[in-house]
Amino acid sequence: MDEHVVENSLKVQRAMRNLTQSELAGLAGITRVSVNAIEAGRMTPSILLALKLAEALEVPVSELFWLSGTKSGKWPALFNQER
Amino acid sequence: MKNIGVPSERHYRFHLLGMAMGLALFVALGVGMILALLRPGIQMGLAVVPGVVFFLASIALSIALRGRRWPRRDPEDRRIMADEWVRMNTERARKISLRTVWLAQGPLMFLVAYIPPDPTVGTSVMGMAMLTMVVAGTAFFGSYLVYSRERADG
Repeated sequence: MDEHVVENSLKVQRAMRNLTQSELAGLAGITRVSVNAIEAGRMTPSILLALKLAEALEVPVSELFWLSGTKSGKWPALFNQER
Repeated sequence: MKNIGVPSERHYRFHLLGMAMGLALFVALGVGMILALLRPGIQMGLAVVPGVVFFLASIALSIALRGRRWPRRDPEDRRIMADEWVRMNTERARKISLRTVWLAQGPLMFLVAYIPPDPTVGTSVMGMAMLTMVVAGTAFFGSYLVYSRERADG
């Protein structure tokens, strides 16, 4: 079985928007410690939380989270082709 | 971008303070229990006195810090309790607590059965029950605080 880890670009996306962890937490309706834990790779968020963060940052979820060893944005493209 | 509502850090700090006080309460109870078990003549009921005193003091401190400006059903409090990181750590701490209680039963059994100089059935039963609660509480609050540590690299 593949040992994939969920990676994220949360810190980069947040920095690009000049947001603090607290501000992003406020936008997503979560606490700052959750943002901190996700950025540090100590927590893999649920789908709900990932969607909230993507909506708060106004980016597709696939640009924010992806499986290790894959590239961001690859999965939605494959998914669309199959359909 | 939408309006930014920055969540209060105070609520989370208060939440962690509550957990730390819970840990201190169970440690106080544990110390009292072990002293009561080791010293003949001390009533087991007295062992809970330090814990009760600490518990009452923590309630007084909680009321003093919160005051009326901080209602219990504050949306920030609810947000913290529903937060994934908090819930994940609570679940982890619950598992650690359960495993610790399981593993501690053997040593506790020997501690309560053989170490007290003059064990009576009542002392043994109370000691075992109280020490089990102390171990569970200490493991829960302690592991929660360990898991909740923040890293600066986040």
